[in-house]
Amino acid sequence: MRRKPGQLLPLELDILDAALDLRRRGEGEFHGFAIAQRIRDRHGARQLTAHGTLYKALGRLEERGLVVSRWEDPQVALDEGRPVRRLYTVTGAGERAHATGRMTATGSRTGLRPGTART
Amino acid sequence: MVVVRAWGRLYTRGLPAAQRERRLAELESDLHEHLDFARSTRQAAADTDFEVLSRLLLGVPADLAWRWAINRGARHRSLLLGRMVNVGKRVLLGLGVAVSVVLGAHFVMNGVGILLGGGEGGEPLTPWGVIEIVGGLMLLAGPALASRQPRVGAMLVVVGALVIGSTHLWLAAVNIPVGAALIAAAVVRSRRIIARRAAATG
Repeated sequence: MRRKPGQLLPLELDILDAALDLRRRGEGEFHGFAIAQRIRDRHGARQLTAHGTLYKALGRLEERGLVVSRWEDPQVALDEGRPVRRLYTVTGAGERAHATGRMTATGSRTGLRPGTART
Repeated sequence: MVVVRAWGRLYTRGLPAAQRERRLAELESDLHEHLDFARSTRQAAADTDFEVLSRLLLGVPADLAWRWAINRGARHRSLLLGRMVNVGKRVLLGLGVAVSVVLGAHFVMNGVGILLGGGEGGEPLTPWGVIEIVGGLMLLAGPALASRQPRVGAMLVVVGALVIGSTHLWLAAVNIPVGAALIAAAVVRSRRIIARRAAATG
Protein backbone atom coordinates (compact mmCIF):
# COMPACT_ATOMS: atom_id res chain seq x y z
CA MET A 1 0.00 0.00 0.00
CA ARG A 2 1.41 3.41 -0.99
CA ARG A 3 1.17 6.18 1.58
CA LYS A 4 2.01 9.82 1.97
CA PRO A 5 5.13 10.61 4.00
CA GLY A 6 4.31 10.59 7.72
CA GLN A 7 0.95 8.92 7.19
CA LEU A 8 0.15 5.84 9.28
CA LEU A 9 -1.25 2.65 7.77
CA PRO A 10 -4.45 1.36 9.39
CA LEU A 11 -2.59 -1.47 11.15
CA GLU A 12 0.03 0.94 12.49
CA LEU A 13 -2.73 3.15 13.81
CA ASP A 14 -4.38 0.10 15.37
CA ILE A 15 -1.12 -0.88 17.05
CA LEU A 16 -0.66 2.59 18.52
CA ASP A 17 -4.33 2.66 19.56
CA ALA A 18 -4.01 -0.66 21.33
CA ALA A 19 -0.65 0.22 22.89
CA LEU A 20 -1.96 3.51 24.30
CA ASP A 21 -5.01 1.67 25.54
CA LEU A 22 -2.74 -0.81 27.35
CA ARG A 23 -0.77 2.09 28.80
CA ARG A 24 -3.95 3.60 30.22
CA ARG A 25 -4.51 0.24 31.91
CA GLY A 26 -1.06 0.45 33.51
CA GLU A 27 0.92 -1.58 30.96
CA GLY A 28 3.48 0.89 29.61
CA GLU A 29 5.37 -1.82 27.74
CA PHE A 30 3.82 -4.43 25.50
CA HIS A 31 4.95 -7.46 23.53
CA GLY A 32 3.82 -8.65 20.12
CA PHE A 33 1.18 -11.17 21.13
CA ALA A 34 -0.34 -8.80 23.72
CA ILE A 35 -0.86 -6.14 21.06
CA ALA A 36 -2.32 -8.67 18.61
CA GLN A 37 -4.80 -9.73 21.28
CA ARG A 38 -5.70 -6.15 22.16
CA ILE A 39 -6.30 -5.29 18.50
CA ARG A 40 -8.54 -8.35 18.12
CA ASP A 41 -10.51 -7.45 21.24
CA ARG A 42 -10.97 -3.83 20.18
CA HIS A 43 -12.23 -4.81 16.75
CA GLY A 44 -14.24 -7.76 17.98
CA ALA A 45 -12.49 -9.82 15.32
CA ARG A 46 -12.03 -13.57 15.37
CA GLN A 47 -8.55 -13.59 13.86
CA LEU A 48 -5.32 -12.37 15.45
CA THR A 49 -3.00 -10.24 13.30
CA ALA A 50 -0.66 -12.47 11.30
CA HIS A 51 2.88 -12.88 12.60
CA GLY A 52 4.61 -11.40 9.56
CA THR A 53 2.22 -8.45 9.27
CA LEU A 54 2.44 -7.62 12.96
CA TYR A 55 6.22 -7.73 13.38
CA LYS A 56 6.84 -5.96 10.10
CA ALA A 57 4.51 -3.14 11.19
CA LEU A 58 6.20 -2.95 14.61
CA GLY A 59 9.57 -2.74 12.83
CA ARG A 60 8.31 0.13 10.66
CA LEU A 61 7.01 2.00 13.70
CA GLU A 62 10.35 1.53 15.42
CA GLU A 63 12.28 2.74 12.37
CA ARG A 64 10.17 5.89 12.40
CA GLY A 65 10.82 6.42 16.11
CA LEU A 66 7.16 5.98 17.04
CA VAL A 67 7.94 3.06 19.33
CA VAL A 68 11.13 1.88 20.99
CA SER A 69 11.89 -1.67 22.03
CA ARG A 70 14.18 -3.71 24.26
CA TRP A 71 14.63 -7.30 25.31
CA GLU A 72 13.26 -7.93 28.77
CA ASP A 73 15.57 -9.13 31.53
CA PRO A 74 16.31 -12.81 30.65
CA GLN A 75 16.12 -13.68 34.35
CA VAL A 76 12.45 -12.64 34.45
CA ALA A 77 11.68 -14.92 31.51
CA LEU A 78 13.68 -17.71 33.08
CA ASP A 79 11.82 -17.34 36.39
CA GLU A 80 8.48 -17.49 34.57
CA GLY A 81 9.61 -20.42 32.39
CA ARG A 82 8.99 -18.79 29.01
CA PRO A 83 10.98 -17.30 26.11
CA VAL A 84 12.28 -13.79 26.55
CA ARG A 85 9.90 -11.06 25.29
CA ARG A 86 10.68 -8.09 23.10
CA LEU A 87 9.03 -5.17 24.89
CA TYR A 88 7.79 -2.12 23.02
CA THR A 89 6.92 1.36 24.30
CA VAL A 90 5.14 4.15 22.45
CA THR A 91 7.29 7.30 22.28
CA GLY A 92 6.17 10.93 22.41
CA ALA A 93 6.47 11.06 18.62
CA GLY A 94 4.29 7.95 18.50
CA GLU A 95 1.61 9.63 20.60
CA ARG A 96 1.63 12.70 18.37
CA ALA A 97 1.51 10.58 15.20
CA HIS A 98 -1.36 8.61 16.70
CA ALA A 99 -3.31 11.79 17.50
CA THR A 100 -2.75 13.14 13.99
CA GLY A 101 -3.58 9.77 12.44
CA ARG A 102 -6.80 9.47 14.41
CA MET A 103 -7.82 12.99 13.44
CA THR A 104 -7.13 12.23 9.77
CA ALA A 105 -9.05 8.96 9.97
CA THR A 106 -11.99 10.67 11.65
CA GLY A 107 -11.83 13.53 9.15
CA SER A 108 -11.86 11.17 6.17
CA ARG A 109 -14.84 9.29 7.60
CA THR A 110 -16.80 12.50 8.13
CA GLY A 111 -15.58 14.15 4.95
CA LEU A 112 -13.52 16.73 6.84
CA ARG A 113 -9.82 17.42 6.58
CA PRO A 114 -7.77 17.82 9.76
CA GLY A 115 -7.89 21.42 10.94
CA THR A 116 -11.08 22.26 9.06
CA ALA A 117 -14.48 22.84 10.55
CA ARG A 118 -17.90 22.13 9.22
CA THR A 119 -19.75 25.39 8.55
CA MET B 1 4.07 -24.90 15.82
CA VAL B 2 6.83 -26.81 14.10
CA VAL B 3 5.68 -25.31 10.80
CA VAL B 4 5.92 -21.75 12.19
CA ARG B 5 9.45 -22.35 13.47
CA ALA B 6 10.52 -24.04 10.22
CA TRP B 7 9.07 -21.22 8.12
CA GLY B 8 10.75 -18.65 10.37
CA ARG B 9 14.13 -20.35 9.96
CA LEU B 10 13.59 -20.59 6.20
CA TYR B 11 12.70 -16.98 5.42
CA THR B 12 15.32 -15.54 7.77
CA ARG B 13 18.09 -17.76 6.37
CA GLY B 14 21.08 -15.76 5.16
CA LEU B 15 19.96 -12.50 6.82
CA PRO B 16 22.26 -10.60 9.20
CA ALA B 17 22.47 -12.50 12.50
CA ALA B 18 20.98 -9.70 14.62
CA GLN B 19 17.85 -9.39 12.48
CA ARG B 20 17.44 -13.15 12.11
CA GLU B 21 17.80 -13.85 15.82
CA ARG B 22 15.47 -11.04 16.76
CA ARG B 23 12.71 -12.20 14.42
CA LEU B 24 13.06 -15.86 15.48
CA ALA B 25 13.04 -14.93 19.17
CA GLU B 26 9.94 -12.75 18.70
CA LEU B 27 8.17 -15.58 16.89
CA GLU B 28 9.14 -18.02 19.63
CA SER B 29 7.82 -15.67 22.30
CA ASP B 30 4.61 -15.02 20.31
CA LEU B 31 4.00 -18.75 19.86
CA HIS B 32 4.53 -19.40 23.54
CA GLU B 33 2.16 -16.59 24.57
CA HIS B 34 -0.44 -17.78 22.07
CA LEU B 35 -0.35 -21.38 23.32
CA ASP B 36 -0.31 -20.21 26.93
CA PHE B 37 -3.37 -18.05 26.31
CA ALA B 38 -5.13 -20.91 24.49
CA ARG B 39 -4.47 -23.23 27.42
CA SER B 40 -5.69 -20.66 29.94
CA THR B 41 -8.96 -20.22 28.01
CA ARG B 42 -9.25 -23.99 27.43
CA GLN B 43 -9.42 -23.51 23.71
CA ALA B 44 -9.58 -26.74 21.70
CA ALA B 45 -6.15 -27.77 20.40
CA ALA B 46 -7.46 -27.99 16.82
CA ASP B 47 -8.76 -24.40 17.00
CA THR B 48 -5.43 -23.17 18.34
CA ASP B 49 -3.53 -25.01 15.60
CA PHE B 50 -5.84 -23.50 13.00
CA GLU B 51 -5.32 -20.00 14.45
CA VAL B 52 -1.55 -20.33 14.54
CA LEU B 53 -1.41 -21.75 11.03
CA SER B 54 -3.65 -19.04 9.61
CA ARG B 55 -1.51 -16.38 11.30
CA LEU B 56 1.49 -17.91 9.63
CA LEU B 57 -0.09 -18.16 6.17
CA LEU B 58 -1.63 -14.68 6.19
CA GLY B 59 1.74 -13.24 7.21
CA VAL B 60 3.78 -14.93 4.46
CA PRO B 61 3.63 -11.97 2.02
CA ALA B 62 4.74 -9.61 4.81
CA ASP B 63 7.53 -11.99 5.82
CA LEU B 64 8.83 -12.10 2.27
CA ALA B 65 8.50 -8.33 1.85
CA TRP B 66 10.39 -7.82 5.11
CA ARG B 67 13.18 -10.12 3.96
CA TRP B 68 13.35 -8.40 0.59
CA ALA B 69 13.56 -4.97 2.24
CA ILE B 70 16.44 -6.10 4.46
CA ASN B 71 18.32 -7.55 1.49
CA ARG B 72 17.74 -4.39 -0.51
CA GLY B 73 19.05 -2.30 2.42
CA ALA B 74 22.18 -4.48 2.66
CA ARG B 75 22.80 -4.17 -1.09
CA HIS B 76 22.34 -0.39 -0.88
CA ARG B 77 24.84 -0.20 2.00
CA SER B 78 27.41 -2.30 0.14
CA LEU B 79 26.97 -0.15 -2.99
CA LEU B 80 27.45 2.96 -0.89
CA LEU B 81 30.60 1.51 0.66
CA GLY B 82 31.86 0.58 -2.80
CA ARG B 83 31.24 4.11 -4.01
CA MET B 84 33.09 5.56 -1.02
CA VAL B 85 36.08 3.28 -1.70
CA ASN B 86 36.01 4.31 -5.37
CA VAL B 87 35.89 7.97 -4.40
CA GLY B 88 38.90 7.40 -2.10
CA LYS B 89 40.83 5.70 -4.91
CA ARG B 90 39.98 8.50 -7.33
CA VAL B 91 41.08 11.17 -4.85
CA LEU B 92 44.42 9.39 -4.32
CA LEU B 93 44.91 8.87 -8.05
CA GLY B 94 43.98 12.50 -8.71
CA LEU B 95 46.53 13.67 -6.16
CA GLY B 96 49.21 11.48 -7.74
CA VAL B 97 48.43 12.84 -11.20
CA ALA B 98 48.38 16.43 -9.89
CA VAL B 99 51.77 16.03 -8.22
CA SER B 100 53.15 14.45 -11.39
CA VAL B 101 51.82 17.24 -13.64
CA VAL B 102 53.00 20.05 -11.36
CA LEU B 103 56.48 18.56 -11.03
CA GLY B 104 56.61 17.80 -14.77
CA ALA B 105 55.67 21.37 -15.72
CA HIS B 106 58.12 22.76 -13.19
CA PHE B 107 61.04 20.71 -14.55
CA VAL B 108 60.25 21.39 -18.19
CA MET B 109 60.27 25.15 -17.48
CA ASN B 110 63.36 24.82 -15.31
CA GLY B 111 65.16 22.82 -18.04
CA VAL B 112 64.26 25.38 -20.69
CA GLY B 113 65.54 28.11 -18.36
CA ILE B 114 68.82 26.26 -17.88
CA LEU B 115 69.27 25.77 -21.62
CA LEU B 116 68.59 29.42 -22.35
CA GLY B 117 70.35 31.08 -19.46
CA GLY B 118 72.81 28.58 -18.04
CA GLY B 119 73.41 28.10 -14.33
CA GLU B 120 73.32 30.69 -11.62
CA GLY B 121 76.83 31.81 -12.47
CA GLY B 122 76.14 31.71 -16.22
CA GLU B 123 78.16 28.49 -16.76
CA PRO B 124 76.77 26.07 -19.42
CA LEU B 125 74.59 23.35 -17.90
CA THR B 126 73.12 21.89 -21.10
CA PRO B 127 73.09 18.21 -20.01
CA TRP B 128 71.19 19.07 -16.81
CA GLY B 129 68.72 21.17 -18.73
CA VAL B 130 68.06 18.35 -21.20
CA ILE B 131 67.65 15.83 -18.37
CA GLU B 132 65.11 18.06 -16.65
CA ILE B 133 63.13 18.68 -19.84
CA VAL B 134 63.06 14.97 -20.75
CA GLY B 135 62.12 13.94 -17.20
CA GLY B 136 59.50 16.69 -16.98
CA LEU B 137 57.94 15.70 -20.31
CA MET B 138 57.72 12.11 -19.12
CA LEU B 139 55.95 13.24 -15.96
CA LEU B 140 53.48 15.22 -18.08
CA ALA B 141 52.96 12.52 -20.72
CA GLY B 142 52.44 9.68 -18.23
CA PRO B 143 49.10 10.90 -16.78
CA ALA B 144 47.92 11.94 -20.27
CA LEU B 145 48.47 8.39 -21.53
CA ALA B 146 47.26 6.66 -18.38
CA SER B 147 43.58 6.50 -19.36
CA ARG B 148 44.27 4.62 -22.63
CA GLN B 149 47.46 2.76 -21.76
CA PRO B 150 47.77 2.62 -17.99
CA ARG B 151 50.97 0.58 -17.88
CA VAL B 152 52.81 2.78 -20.39
CA GLY B 153 51.58 5.90 -18.59
CA ALA B 154 52.75 4.66 -15.22
CA MET B 155 56.11 3.59 -16.61
CA LEU B 156 56.64 7.03 -18.12
CA VAL B 157 55.90 8.69 -14.77
CA VAL B 158 58.27 6.34 -12.95
CA VAL B 159 61.08 6.69 -15.47
CA GLY B 160 60.59 10.45 -15.56
CA ALA B 161 60.68 10.55 -11.77
CA LEU B 162 63.89 8.48 -11.74
CA VAL B 163 65.50 10.71 -14.36
CA ILE B 164 64.74 13.83 -12.36
CA GLY B 165 65.53 12.05 -9.10
CA SER B 166 69.05 11.41 -10.44
CA THR B 167 69.61 15.16 -10.59
CA HIS B 168 67.58 16.11 -7.51
CA LEU B 169 68.03 13.44 -4.87
CA TRP B 170 65.75 15.28 -2.43
CA LEU B 171 62.85 14.66 -4.80
CA ALA B 172 63.11 10.91 -4.23
CA ALA B 173 60.90 11.33 -1.14
CA VAL B 174 58.10 12.56 -3.42
CA ASN B 175 58.89 10.59 -6.59
CA ILE B 176 59.06 7.13 -5.09
CA PRO B 177 55.68 7.10 -3.29
CA VAL B 178 53.92 8.84 -6.19
CA GLY B 179 55.49 6.45 -8.67
CA ALA B 180 54.59 3.41 -6.55
CA ALA B 181 50.97 4.58 -6.21
CA LEU B 182 50.68 5.14 -9.95
CA ILE B 183 52.16 1.71 -10.72
CA ALA B 184 49.69 0.07 -8.34
CA ALA B 185 46.79 1.99 -9.88
CA ALA B 186 47.98 1.09 -13.37
CA VAL B 187 48.26 -2.62 -12.55
CA VAL B 188 44.77 -2.71 -11.01
CA ARG B 189 43.29 -0.78 -13.88
CA SER B 190 44.92 -2.85 -16.61
CA ARG B 191 43.75 -6.08 -14.92
CA ARG B 192 40.21 -4.75 -14.93
CA ILE B 193 40.47 -3.76 -18.60
CA ILE B 194 41.83 -7.22 -19.48
CA ALA B 195 39.06 -8.92 -17.48
CA ARG B 196 36.41 -6.75 -19.13
CA ARG B 197 37.76 -7.52 -22.60
CA ALA B 198 37.87 -11.23 -21.79
CA ALA B 199 34.26 -11.11 -20.58
CA ALA B 200 33.19 -9.22 -23.69
CA THR B 201 34.86 -11.66 -26.05
CA GLY B 202 33.63 -14.43 -24.16
